[in-house]
Amino acid sequence: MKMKKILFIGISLVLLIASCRKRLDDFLFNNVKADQYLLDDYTGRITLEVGSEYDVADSMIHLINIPIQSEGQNLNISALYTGELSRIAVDTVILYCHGTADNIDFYWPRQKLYSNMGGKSRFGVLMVDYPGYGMSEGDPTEQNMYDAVNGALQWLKDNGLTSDRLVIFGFSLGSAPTCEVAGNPTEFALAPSKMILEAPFASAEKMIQDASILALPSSYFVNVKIDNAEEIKKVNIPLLWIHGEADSFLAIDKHGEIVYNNYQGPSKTAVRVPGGDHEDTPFIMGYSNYLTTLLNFIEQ
Amino acid sequence: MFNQEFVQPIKIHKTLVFIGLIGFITACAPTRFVKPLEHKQHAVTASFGGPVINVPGIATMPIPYTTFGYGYGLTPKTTVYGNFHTTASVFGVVQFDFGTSHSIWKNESNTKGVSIAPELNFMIDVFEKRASLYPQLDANYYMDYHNKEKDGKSKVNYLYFGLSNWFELRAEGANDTKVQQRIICSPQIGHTFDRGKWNYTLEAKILAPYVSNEKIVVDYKSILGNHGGLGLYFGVNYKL
Repeated sequence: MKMKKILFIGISLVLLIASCRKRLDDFLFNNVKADQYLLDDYTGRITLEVGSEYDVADSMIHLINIPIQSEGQNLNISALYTGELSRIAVDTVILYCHGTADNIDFYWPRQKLYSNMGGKSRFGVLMVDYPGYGMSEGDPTEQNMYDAVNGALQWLKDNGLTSDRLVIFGFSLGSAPTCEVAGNPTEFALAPSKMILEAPFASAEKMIQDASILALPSSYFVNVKIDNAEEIKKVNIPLLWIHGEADSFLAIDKHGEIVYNNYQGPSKTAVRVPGGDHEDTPFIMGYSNYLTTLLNFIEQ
Repeated sequence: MFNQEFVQPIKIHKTLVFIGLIGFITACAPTRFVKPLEHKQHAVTASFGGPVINVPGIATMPIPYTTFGYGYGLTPKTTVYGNFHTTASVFGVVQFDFGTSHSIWKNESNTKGVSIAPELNFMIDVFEKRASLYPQLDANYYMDYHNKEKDGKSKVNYLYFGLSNWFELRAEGANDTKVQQRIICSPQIGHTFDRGKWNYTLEAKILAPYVSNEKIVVDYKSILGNHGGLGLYFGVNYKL
């Protein structure tokens, strides 16, 4: 009798728990929602400290609202464009896909750096907040992250940008939409002419296997299928890859090198930064050297 | 110029927690039945605990893996058992372990002995039906101490220490990379309070002490600094 009771309770418990089927996808996105962007007035943690020489004039800062449809939802996506709007139709523009942390305010210093590459507001730079980040509506998923980036591409196209003048730049998590766009250009509003990856990760499955030591399938934990190491094989535009050799989050040999080695396109450039960690590579290189490296790649 | 200390490192809190839940799945339970059950004895078991990780802003704590199971004394020397891993099931992964604990040596009074526990860990997710099988072999030496008998009830304490070994059958991991660790070996030490029908076990493992815990996406805590991880567990058995 006691055995039957225990068996009944045990099976009931198993069925109850098994029915939960919780997924861990949302843990990949460290998004922070915001009512407004504070940019230079933001006092929270930020990616890098940059000096006043990299300030961007207020007249060059444009908050953009981009409506998108994704996974059956209508979402308003927020993006920040720095530069003269009128030059989108005639000059090179950088689409910057940021990492997993917080929102645009966290990555604002990076946008300031890129805006000042080669001179004050030399290049237009568009940074988009994925759904659930900053002022963008929704909750982040792999698909709506891609859809938000496509919305940004469509906005650039509507403002006169052509594919030959588009450079796409992905940092960390942002390497996922960057590889997706560059690897499948016909599925997006514009096809970039060059791509830059900084501290990319190989795949969601690789991250999981790093942590567990075992060769576990990613489907045990997440639905996301992010696989930059596979997508990069389809890329047919020049690649610049930057990775800190001391990256303590996405180890250069386990992630960046795999992505770089799998690239089979027309030309690739690797910048391995001694002493560079995940976030501070521009600082370790020196901002001037870092920006010169980017500029040389874009203008070559 | 800017001082390095002005540069604020990224703190990917949620991601660390997420990866922590995955971390060292080889370390999701303590050794089962270090001392095999008596012949024809039934027991139900539960365990709680896992590798210790730092969850920024919250605490340094063991990941709360839980298991429930059953054991049976098949012979005087051999106990068979099976366990269901409840934490895995919350994430849509059906995980079981099946094994035997076998006494290979004990002294006449059974106050010291050595047992081995070959085990199979099976996992399959309900989403893509991807299955994994991990053989495991634990070996432990145990020794009783300070045993008492009061009001006809015995109170037995025993310490044990040994090795827990997981075997990776896959040679290739994600993105066609070679699997670096085919054998994951973790020394362990534990203590069991045997109170007749109930017994309680505390166990600590040094998880894969020869593997660097740096440059990965989880902040493992280890008594060895930058190698391995520390696992802490609580187990309880109830003899029927």
